[in-house]
Amino acid sequence: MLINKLLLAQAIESKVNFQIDKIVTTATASTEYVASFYSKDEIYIICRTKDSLYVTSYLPTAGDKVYDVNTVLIGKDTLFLNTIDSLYHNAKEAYEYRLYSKNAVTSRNFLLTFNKDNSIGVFYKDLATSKDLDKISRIINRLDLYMIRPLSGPSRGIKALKIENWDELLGYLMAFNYKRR
Amino acid sequence: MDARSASRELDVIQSSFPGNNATELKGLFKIGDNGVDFSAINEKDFGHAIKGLSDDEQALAYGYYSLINSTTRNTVEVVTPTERYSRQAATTIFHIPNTWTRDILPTATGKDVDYVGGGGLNWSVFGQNHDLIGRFSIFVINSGQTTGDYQTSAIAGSALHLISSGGETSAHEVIGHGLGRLSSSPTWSHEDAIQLSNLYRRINVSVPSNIDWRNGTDHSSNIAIPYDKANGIPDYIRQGLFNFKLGQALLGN
Repeated sequence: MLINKLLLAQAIESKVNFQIDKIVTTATASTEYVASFYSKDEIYIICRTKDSLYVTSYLPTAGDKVYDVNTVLIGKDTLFLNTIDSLYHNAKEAYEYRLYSKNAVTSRNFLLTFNKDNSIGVFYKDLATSKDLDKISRIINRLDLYMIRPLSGPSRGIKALKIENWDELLGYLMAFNYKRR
Repeated sequence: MDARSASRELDVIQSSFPGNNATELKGLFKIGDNGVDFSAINEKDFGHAIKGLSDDEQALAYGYYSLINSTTRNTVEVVTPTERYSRQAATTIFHIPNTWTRDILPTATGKDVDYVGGGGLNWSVFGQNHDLIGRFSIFVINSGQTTGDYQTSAIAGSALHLISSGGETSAHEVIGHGLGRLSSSPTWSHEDAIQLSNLYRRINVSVPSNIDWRNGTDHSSNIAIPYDKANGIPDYIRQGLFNFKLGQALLGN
């Protein structure tokens, strides 16, 4: 039973790596950056375009099925926007980034990627200063706050999406970017 | 969280098992020497204590047992509508997005939990490495907040607005959302929590024909859950309990 559990966890992790890589490498030119956070089988994808930032969260499986897909359009949350924007600008301007490769996804639960001179730059925690790490903590805690489900009554901003498989989800993420062009 | 919340949560858990045959089980739920943390429960003792309980009682008991014996950090805070909650809870509640305005400011009392959460909330606790290390639950006892998705027949119709008891809210938040998320359950955010509300009610509503069940239309994604599914038991409890009992049988307990 333990071996089965471990194999399943490995299969999910491998799927997560594949999916994050796909999202990062297919992001359109209108996307300023994509940040991803992965924790205990939940993935958050943060897409920043010139005039908006939206977060999509979902639970991956070892196959193509995805669960609990939600989206939040971050509007006036300047605290969140400023924190993540400054992380991006610092990384890009201070050259605290590497050229993206598939390996960047492996074993890293937080990534921020962006277009840089026709290639993709990637920032991750190994490159972060203590101030950056504080910002990452604030971003992650804030993401969790958006996902709080009250005992009754409305959630505070999340919208559940009726998406149940990976291809559909990728299509949704890409279509959103095109719309924002 | 603190001695007051620990004592209240102990009372809530023990009161969740009303039958005389649950006396042994209730005795296993204890607060440790520091007055705050629950003491780990011996596997063999737990296996013995749940023999003779109904399937539903065993499932609810296993949920609490799993959390108490878990290596993750699970914090529960219990307040009345007029009591102040902790600073730790305030750092989250004050910052829940799209909630507070100049006209509606937090009061730092249980009223906020009623207002934002309908009587209960649950969120993640991340460690230094940003790994998920536990969950924090807060709920209100003697809440005046009603929930509007209680159904009176298997086919959902016009809903009743009822107040969830402390025991029901604890099962919903602490096990349904909390243990569900920590178990990586794909349905932790909605279905599991509704199933735990209904599991609690099946055990604790004395006249079976009067059991009202939640269908989830006043919760989270607001997606209506059909009767059979809403009254099911989450996989991490069903499968976990099965494995536990199998293990105990193989050990000859």
